[in-house]
Parts: sequence; C-alpha cells; structure tokens
Amino acid sequence: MTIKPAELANKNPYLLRNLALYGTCFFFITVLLTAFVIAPKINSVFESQRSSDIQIELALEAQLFTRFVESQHSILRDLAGYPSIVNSVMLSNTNEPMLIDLFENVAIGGKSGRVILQDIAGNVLIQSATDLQGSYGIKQLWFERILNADIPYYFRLLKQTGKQFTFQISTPVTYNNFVEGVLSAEFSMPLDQVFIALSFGKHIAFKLSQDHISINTDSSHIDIAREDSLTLTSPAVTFTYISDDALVRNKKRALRNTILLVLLVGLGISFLLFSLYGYRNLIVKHTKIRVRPSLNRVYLTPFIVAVVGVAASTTAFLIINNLHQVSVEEQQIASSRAAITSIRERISGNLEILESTKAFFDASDTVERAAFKTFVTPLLANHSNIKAVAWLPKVTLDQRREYINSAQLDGLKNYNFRELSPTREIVVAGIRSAYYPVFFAEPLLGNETAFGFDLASNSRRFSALIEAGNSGDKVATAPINLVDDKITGSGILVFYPVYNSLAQSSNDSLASVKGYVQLVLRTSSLVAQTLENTNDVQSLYIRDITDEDKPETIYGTAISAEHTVFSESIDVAGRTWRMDVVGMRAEESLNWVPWLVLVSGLTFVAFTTAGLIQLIRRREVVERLVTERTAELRMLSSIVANSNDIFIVTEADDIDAENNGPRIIYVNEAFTRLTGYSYDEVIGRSPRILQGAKTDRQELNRIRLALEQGKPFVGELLNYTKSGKELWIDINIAPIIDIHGRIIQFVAVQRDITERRQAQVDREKLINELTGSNEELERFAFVCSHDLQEPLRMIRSFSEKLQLHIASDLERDEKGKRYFKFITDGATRAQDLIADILTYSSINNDVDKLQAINTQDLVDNVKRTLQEEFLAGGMRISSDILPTSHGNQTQLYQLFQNLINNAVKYRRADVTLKVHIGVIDADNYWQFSVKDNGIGMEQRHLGKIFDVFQRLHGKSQYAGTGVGLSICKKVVTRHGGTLWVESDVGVGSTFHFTLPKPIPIEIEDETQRKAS
Amino acid sequence: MKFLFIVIAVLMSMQLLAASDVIHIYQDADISNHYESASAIQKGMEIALAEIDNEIDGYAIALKYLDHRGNVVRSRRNYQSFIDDPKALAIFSGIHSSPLIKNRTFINQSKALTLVPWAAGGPITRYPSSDNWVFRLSVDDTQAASVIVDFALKDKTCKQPHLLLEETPWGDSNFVSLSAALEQQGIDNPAVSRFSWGLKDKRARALVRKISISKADCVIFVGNAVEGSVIVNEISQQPEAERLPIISHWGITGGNFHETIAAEQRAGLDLHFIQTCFAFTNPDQTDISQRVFTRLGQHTGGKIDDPRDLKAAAGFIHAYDLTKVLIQAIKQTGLTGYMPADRAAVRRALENLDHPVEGLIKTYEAPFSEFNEISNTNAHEALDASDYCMGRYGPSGEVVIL
Repeated sequence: MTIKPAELANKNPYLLRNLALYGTCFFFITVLLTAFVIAPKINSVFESQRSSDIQIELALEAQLFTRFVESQHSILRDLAGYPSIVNSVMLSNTNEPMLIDLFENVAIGGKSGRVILQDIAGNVLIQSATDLQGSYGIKQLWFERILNADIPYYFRLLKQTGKQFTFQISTPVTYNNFVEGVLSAEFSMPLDQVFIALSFGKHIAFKLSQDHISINTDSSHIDIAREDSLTLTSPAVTFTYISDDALVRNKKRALRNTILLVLLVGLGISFLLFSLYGYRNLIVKHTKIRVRPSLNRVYLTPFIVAVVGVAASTTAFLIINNLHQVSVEEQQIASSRAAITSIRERISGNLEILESTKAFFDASDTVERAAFKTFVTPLLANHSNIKAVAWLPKVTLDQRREYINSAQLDGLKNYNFRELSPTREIVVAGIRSAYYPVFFAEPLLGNETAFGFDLASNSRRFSALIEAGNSGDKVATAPINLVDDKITGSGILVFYPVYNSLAQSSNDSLASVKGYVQLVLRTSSLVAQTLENTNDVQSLYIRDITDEDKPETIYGTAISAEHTVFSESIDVAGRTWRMDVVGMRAEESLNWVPWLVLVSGLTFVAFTTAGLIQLIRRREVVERLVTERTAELRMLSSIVANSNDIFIVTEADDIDAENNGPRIIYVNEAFTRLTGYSYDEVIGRSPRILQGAKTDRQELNRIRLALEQGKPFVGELLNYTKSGKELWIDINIAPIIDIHGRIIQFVAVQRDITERRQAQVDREKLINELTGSNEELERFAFVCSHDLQEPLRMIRSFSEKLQLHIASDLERDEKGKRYFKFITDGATRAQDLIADILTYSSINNDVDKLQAINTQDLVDNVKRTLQEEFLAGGMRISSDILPTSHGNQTQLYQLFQNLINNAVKYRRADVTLKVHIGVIDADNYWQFSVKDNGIGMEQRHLGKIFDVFQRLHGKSQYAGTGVGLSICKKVVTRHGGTLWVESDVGVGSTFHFTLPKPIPIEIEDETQRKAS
Repeated sequence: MKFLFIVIAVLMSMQLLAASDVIHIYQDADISNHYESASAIQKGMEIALAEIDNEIDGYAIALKYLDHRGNVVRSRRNYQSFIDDPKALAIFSGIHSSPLIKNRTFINQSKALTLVPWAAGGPITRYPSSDNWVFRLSVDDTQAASVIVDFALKDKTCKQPHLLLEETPWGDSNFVSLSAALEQQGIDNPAVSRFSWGLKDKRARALVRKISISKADCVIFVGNAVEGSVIVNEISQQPEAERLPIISHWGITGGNFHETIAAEQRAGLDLHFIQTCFAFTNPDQTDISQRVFTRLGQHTGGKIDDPRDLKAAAGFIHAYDLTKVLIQAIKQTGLTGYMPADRAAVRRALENLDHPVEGLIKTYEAPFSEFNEISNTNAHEALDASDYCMGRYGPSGEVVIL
C-alpha cells in the first residue's frame, strides 16, 4: 500500500516541513563544505596539476626543441662530411669554386644557407653570406671546445627580429675522426615554426636564454607571466616555458563564480521555497485545529528565509563584484600593456638617437668635436631623458697623449683620462693597453665630470663594451645610479660599436672596434614620465633579469606576485627587463552595482521576512481572537442553553402578520422546561402561541412597535404555558443586526417572574400594613412625648414654686433642698430625654427635605453657640474650608453641634481643647472628620457608642442623655452616609462621616435660583 | 796564473753548459692518420742519431714529434712552435706534401730548416729563391712521373691511363708532372678524376664506376693511404675482368693501407707503386743496411726483426739517410747554440756538403746545392729518377721492390 504525499501530510503535517528542513540543512552543509573544503581542495589540486602539467609540458617542449636543434645540426653535420669541405679545412683552402657552389646551393632550414667554414685557426675559408650575426673566431671558447671535441656541436642564440629568430649551429669538420675545422650555419626561422604549443591553448609563450641573449615568442597575449625554466646541456640554453597565471586566475575565478552561482541558485530556490511555504502556511485556512507550535518553530521559517536571503544577496554581491573585478582587471591589463608599450617605444625612440649617431660615425672617416656637437644637439632636443650622447674612441696607450692634447686644444683644458679609484675618487687613469674615454659628449652642461672617464676602468661598463664590440650591436649595461644627475635615479648606458671599416669581418670584430657611441639614458625619469600619463597603473616594478640569479631593480619597489596584474619582459639593447604592474585595486574603483544588488537584495529579504513576520503576527491575532470568540461563544451558548431564563430567537420577518408573527428559530432548554412546549413544537412557529386571554394587548402593541422600529423592548408580559398556566415574564427583546446594519433576527430573553410578581404583591401588602403601623406608632410616640412634656413642666414648675414657697423652711433643711433638687433635676432630665427622643424620632420625617447646605455656615453657627466656652476654656476650633453638601439643614446642624459638643464635653481638663473639622473628597461624598484631643475611648467601646442611651461615663462625671451620638448616626444614615469613629484613650477621638455632594442639577437649580 | 785559472774555469763551465744543453729536432707529420709513415720516419731519425749517441758538437739531441694530422693549418701552427723554440734546429716533415706546399712561403720566410723524407710534391723544394730552406731526400713527383708513366705504359701496356688524383696541391703537382710525362709518351689530355680528402665509399664507387665505363685500361693513382684504401677497396669490388691495373704513387704505403686492404684482397689486384729502389726486403743487402736493420731491431726491442715487419719502410730509409746528411752538415759547420744562426749555417752546409755520406740508398757525395729556379731546380733533391723503382706489396704487407 502506498501512501500519497497528501495522505502523508495529513498523517503528519510537519513531515514535509521537516524533510524540507533536513534537505536545506544538507544543502547548506554541502555548500559550506564545497565553499570551504572542496573548493580550496580543488584549487590546490588544480594548482598542483597545473604545475605538474607545466613541468611535463616544459620537458616535452624542451625535448622537442632539442630534437629540432639536433635535426638542424644533423643537416649541418652531413654537410660537414662533404669531402670537399674536409679537403678545404685540411688544406686551408679559401673560396674554392666547388665549395662556393656547394655553399650557395646548400639549403639549411629550407632556405639558402648562411654558412661559414673555418679552419682550426679560425680562419674563414668560405662564408656564404656577409651579414652573419655570430662571432666566429679562434678566441671564442666554443670554438676551442669544438676543436677539442669537448662538445658535439655548438648552439648559440644570435638575435630576434620580430617573429624571426636567428641562431648559430657550429659543427666540427672531421677527417678520419679528428676535428680539423668548424662548419657553422646561421638559421633564421619563424618562431612559430619551432615553438608549437601542445596544450593550454594559446596562453603560453617560450623563451630561450643564453648568456645575455634571449629570444621569446610573442607574449603580448600573456597577462601574468609565469616562467618555468629548464637548463639544457645540449644545446646549452635555458629553455623557458611561459604560461599565463591570469588564465589560472580566471579559471579559479570561474570556478569560484560557478560555486557562487550554484550557491546563489540554491539559495535563491531555497529562499523562494521557504518564502512560498511560509506564505502559504500563513494564508491557507486550516480546517483542523492543530496544536499550536512553539514560538521558535513559528519564526523558524522567516528566520531561514532571512538567512537564506542574506546569503543569496551576499552571493549575488560576490558574483557581481567578481565580474566587476574581472572587468577592472581587463581594463588594468590594457592600461598596463599600453604603459609598457609606451615605455618600450620611448626607449626605442631614444635608442634611435644612438643609431643615428653611430651611422654618422660610420659615414665619416673622422668626426671633429664641433661636427659631433652640430649633429647631436638637434637630435637631443625632444629627448629629455637622454642625459648624454658620447663618443668613446678606442685609444691605445701610445695614442693616449695625442688624444689628451687634442681635447685640450679643443678647449677642454683639464682633459685627461680618468677613472674611479678604489676609494671612489676620480683620479687619472692608470696604465692599460687600451682606453675608452669619454671624448665627445653632448650636452656639455651636466656632463662636465664625465669627460675623460675611461669606461674600461669599470668592470660593469667594460663588459658591456666588450659584448657590444663582439656582437656589433647595441648593448646596454645593467642599471647604474646616475648620482651626478640632478634627477637621481637609475639609468643605463648603451654602447654601440663603430668599426674601423665597413667590411669588418665577423671574426675578431673586437679588434677592429674604432670606438663606441654611448647613450646615457635616465630610465627612472623616462618610466615616471610615462606613468604620469597612464591611469589605472598603481605602480610599476622594473627589474633587469638578464642575469636571472641576480636581478637588479631599475624602477619601483618589489611587489608580491599576487598583486601583479600584468607582467611583461622586454628587450632593451641586449638586456631583458621584466616589468610587473600593480593596478588599481577593484575595491578602490568605486562601483555601485554590486552594492546596489546587495542593498536591493537585503531590502527585498527584509521586506519578505517582515511580511512573513507580519502575516504570522496577524495570524496569531486572528487565531487568538477566534479562540477567544469561540470560547466566548461557547460560554454564551452554554449560558443560553443552561440559563433559567428563556431565550427565543426569531426571524425578523412577518412582524405584522396577524396570526403568524415572526418565526421562532431557536429556543433554549429553559423555554421547553417553563412553557412545556418541546423544541420541535415551537421551531417555525410564532411566539404568539404563548399568549392568552389576560395578556396585555397594549403591551403587545408596544412590543410590535418597538420591533418595527428596530428598538429594544423591555417590559413584563403575561404568557401561558402549554398547559394554560399563567406565566409572568420579564421580557427583553433586542434586534440582531448584521454587518450591513440590517435587522436579521430578534432575540428575546424572558425571565419567569411569576413568583416575584406574587412576592411583590405580598410585599406591597406588607408595606402598606407596616406603614400604617409605623405611622400609628410615631403618632403615638409624638403624642406620648408631647403629652408627657406638660406634666413634667408642671412638676418642675410647681416644684420650683413650692421651693420658693417654703424657701425659708428650706434654708435649714438641707435635705429638703436636696429633695427639691432631685425633683427638678429629674424633671429637667426627663424633659431633655423626651426632647432628645422627639428629636430622634423626628429625624425620619425631615429627611426628605434635602437641599444644598453650606457646611461652613453650619460649623460657624455651632462655634458661635460655644463662644462662652471658648472664653472660659481657651479651646480652639478650626476647620478646613468646608464644602456645600446635600441634606437637611436642621439635622446636619444637629450633627455638627452634637459632635462638637461631644468634643467639648469629653475634653481633658489639663489641656487646651483643640477641635478640627476636616473634609476630603470621596467621589460622590464629602468625608468630614471632627477631631479632638480629648480623653478618647477604649477600642472595645467604640462599637456601642452609637446605640441609644449608651453611656460610657456616669452622670455625675459627664451630663447627658446618651442619645446624642445615636441622633448623629441616624442623621448620617438617613442622608445615605456612614459614621464611624477612631479613638485612642488620652489622645483624642476622630469622628468620620460622609455626606452626599449636592446633585449637579440641583446646584444648577440653586445657581439659577440665586441668579434669579 | 789567475787569468789562466779563470780561462780554464770559463772553458769548463762552457763545456758543462754545452754538454748539458740540448738541441731539438722536430718532426711535423700526420702521426694520427698515417702513423706508419710518421713512425717509420721517426725510427729512421732515431737510428741515425743513435749512431752518434744523440749528441753532436756538445749538444744533446732531443726529438720532438708534432702531429699535424694532415691539416696545413695545424702544420703551420706546429711550425710556429718550432720557430718559437730557441733550441729547435731542424724539422722533418711527413708523408703529406700539402702542408709543405701550402706553407712553403711561411717556412722559407721563417727560415725553418725543413728536411723532407717522404712528401713528394714537386713544388716543395722549389721555392723560387736562393733562400730555400727545404731539402728533400725522397721521391720527387716531377721526376717520378716519368717512372710511373713508363711503368704503366710499358710494363702494364696501358694505352689509356686514367689519372685519379687527390684534390690537393700534391694532386695538382702530380697532375702537372704526369700530364707532362704522358704527353711525352704521346698521350695528350689524359682522363683525370679528382677526389677530396675524406672521400667516402659512395663517391669512390661512383668514381670507379665512371672510370670503368670509360675506356681506361689502367689507373694512375695519386693519393694517400686513407683515401687510397677507399678507392682500391671499391676497385677490388669490381668484377675481376673489370678491375683495372693500379699504378700508384707511393702515398698509399704511408699508412695502414696494407691492413685495410688485406693480403687476400690485394692478391686480386694488380697494384704497383713507386718507391726508392732500396728496400730491406731486397735480396742484396749491404753491410750498412744490415747494420742499420740490426740496430732497428734492437731499437724496437725486437719487434722488428724481419724486413717485412717494417711498414712504410721508405720513410725509415729516407729519414735515416737524410738524418745522416744532417749530421754531416752539423758536423761540418758546428753549433753555436743560437739556433737562427745554426740553422742558417746548417742550411749552407747542406748545400755544400764536403764529405760523402754513406746511406742506405746510396752514398751521397753532394746531395744538395744552392737552389736556382731556372738553372738548378733540383738543387734540393737528394735523389733523382735513377733512384726510383716500382714496388708492390708482399703477402705480409711489406714493400717489395721490383
């Protein structure tokens, strides 16, 4: 049985999500491993493989080259075996016709041979061309080595002209296995016929180096040259395989970009999937109630979306940045190439001056100083980098004096041959067989000290001279410091030999040197000037690598290979200069595209993530509301279902229908219980079935009217149960309005008030009875009190009269006086008591006469009644600013008076009585307090002091009826307030009571009244 | 007394000095490629000098052998060494004529007293000046041509000889002399082929084929052992009927020809060459020849105890005779120790020898005289045509005079 994904999802809604999570984690781990482990490993393997390939390629190419040379040699060797050639060398025959024919017809390397035959003395027996480039003489070491059979043949690089290179192969001419002469040939061949790249496409070049000569195939297509060399023994050359590191860098970058692209695509897809997944989850309505996931899990999706999005944006940024870097580098390479070409052309332009001057000397038998100046000065006009052009004649020891005299006659009075002493001082040159002094030099200015300096005295310069003399070509020195120059920096000297005769033979050319034309070139300033006009080239490092083991800096400072964007080797008068260029860093060339992508990506991710979070929050709110509403609904439903009140829901239609009325669509259980109708019996019927004969028709009309107007209705109605029993209900009908404001239903809540209705009838009946009883009682008390007043007054009055009447008798009758006093006091006390009882009982009657009372005035009146007390006892009554209250003025006056009098009565004898009437706002009431520093009360007595006739002290101690506080309590209670006391013995008591604030409308009425 | 003592002391010291001094006699020859001839010459010199205990007029005689390997430039360089040597008196040459002919002017101008025991080139001794420093005791091409031609035409009844000459000055010399000799015999413009040194089989085969196709009935060959071996080898490869008689100059006997062309191969060839008439293999030996041969045997530690053992015997014979002539000349003039002067004196003595010298070939009364290019062109030739004979190789590679 197979489980469909949907079923699977239904079985476990998180399974797919978990699978997606695991998949993503796996993807991330794979990507991270790829980025940090596999990619570097691939790089390393790539690098290693490339090195290995290059070494193999190098060995193979070198082998091919060796075979090529050997094949050329074998052609020459075969030629050398010709008997006529053997004959010629044995007999030292020169220019034999047979040989001339042979040499003219011999084809070497597919071309007419440039062949030279020499006897063992180095004498040229025949040569088929006059413009041979090599040096052929007995003094050559290679010649001796061939004669001594030390080497099977000799290979020498001669020169490179464009895409052609010329080399010499010399082979022994043997007779009976003994070397008897040397046959040499010069081969000129297109480089591309010899050097054929076997692999690596076209991104390679080759270089051959021998002594100071090197030739190389076109390397202009190589941006960053990597040179791997192999020193061959036969032919004795250094074979260099030049590959392009830029290619590797590009491949590495392509690999990195591919990885980044894969990353980007993966991350992008992940981002989209997670975004969609998150969005879908948030908008799809779940029909089933699920267990609410934890907060971490809820926000996991946006978190992953954010992480993936940031990673994708960063990856996109890196890719675009990489692409940008590529374009920047390409631009830099183009600039570097242009700069180097410019330098090469400038040098070449300067060397043309040397060639012109040499041609001038060649064309003239003798050159005078003035002629030299005339010729050279205009040439120098536009070449500021040339420090000097000089003529260095070869002067033998015998000729020294003659030359010095000549120079002195020309006006150089202190002219002499000079050299540098070991202590670096300019001294007169010592004795040597030949000198190469600076004889002419232009411009004079700045070169005064150079005159007479013998170039043969300096090994570096002299070796260049010798080389130039031997080769017949321009030869530059290694870089030297032009310390005497105004512009310090390195420069080079270039020598160009001038020979005694135009037809100088190839051999022993040094002997026929007449002198040298010398050019002093300020290389530093030349390079600096070139770079001034070049953008994108940050720095240039030029080295003379002619001697690869000892490179010398010409310009700039060393830079590490990783910062090199371009490198090229150029040939400068027989020397090889390597130029390494550092370009502007990609970071330094502001480019906003990758940053825009990054910012856009991050913004998009931020918005997406924020959107998801927002959706999650909204969903949470909705879910919470649903939960709450559901619970609420359930609660209400439960309330409705289980309520003792009847709930009826009807449709809003057919309100006016005469018989039918609105149809019932819901009744609760209380309905069926109280009315006796079952649920099914009433659904679809009108509530009118509940009404009967005694139902108030007017009330029904009011109901209908309210319903028609869409207003709620509250009232009482008599209904009947199914069995016809009366059922009084308190009915509350409200319309149910939909979101469009339309009344769709009515809900009626009906409470069974049949019993209440009966109780109410009973209570009203009882109240009526009690009211009558009370009124009788009050009337009785009033009458009783009032009627008692009279006899008491008579008792008192007549007692006093009797006392006056028998006053004389009583003068001595203390007892009689005391008895009279008892009678009058008793009568008085009875009167007071009755008065108090009257007051107490009258409170009920007066409570309805309520008005706004200025309590301040009340207190002031009370204080005035106590004026005498103030004078006698020195008591002080203070008060807050007292407000207007609402109540019966007489009773409130009674209240304040009783409380203050109470304080006065129970004051302490030894202290000044202080009474303070305070007030605070307590919502609808004013809370007053009357505080004294009197004798105070024990806590246990506080509960009963407000009872009628309760006294804490004997009459002898404090006079009173024990009704005062009861009156206070009754007054406050009748005003709807409360009275309570706080007291400490020996400290004092505080009576608190609340009184209602005046009713605003009454205040308004009062204000209007006052205003009117 | 004191003066006498000083004189005696000086004389004694001079005597001591003289006795301890040495003169150098050089040989400049092709020791590498034609060792047999060079070696034979050396032995001849050594035996002759041994007879005077390698000492003459108070000077020890030291021999110096230089190898020019047939290369004229090296020969000149060797001569330069000789000239630069303050003790060098005379220099013997070897088999090759070319170095001597090419360097003749240099030799004479350098006043290098040269004694030629083998090289036969006509111009060698005919430097057009009375100041001629080259003396020969050997076959002279200008005189040998008639002997060779006579042998070819008469003994070998050759009607159309084909001249096969090396492309060297020696070949040139022979071309002139042989042509003249043939012309005298009524053969004008003989067929001529030239070959160079270093000749290889292919070229030799072509030459031989060419000669075979022509109507030549004999080959007159002028060349040395190296190239001679190549050519004769090719001729021997020809069908027997087509193998032409070879009448050769004696250059082939100067090297290891007898080894490269073995006896069996030689047996199939009709090969003759010119020699001087004396040979140790001759049946009639004089006392002196027997004595010399005995000394030779002793000198070589018994390696040569049969005349057949001595290869390139002509070199030995000529060198022996020539050395004896030189000794006589030195004796005649004495030595000063200053070589330029001594060389001049000896040269004059050679031209004016006043005592006969008993040699192997003959007794030399006045072998040399002052050269005159018109009246006395053979002045520096110790031998003449009467001293020449034809020879052939014996079974052991020895030279047998006919």
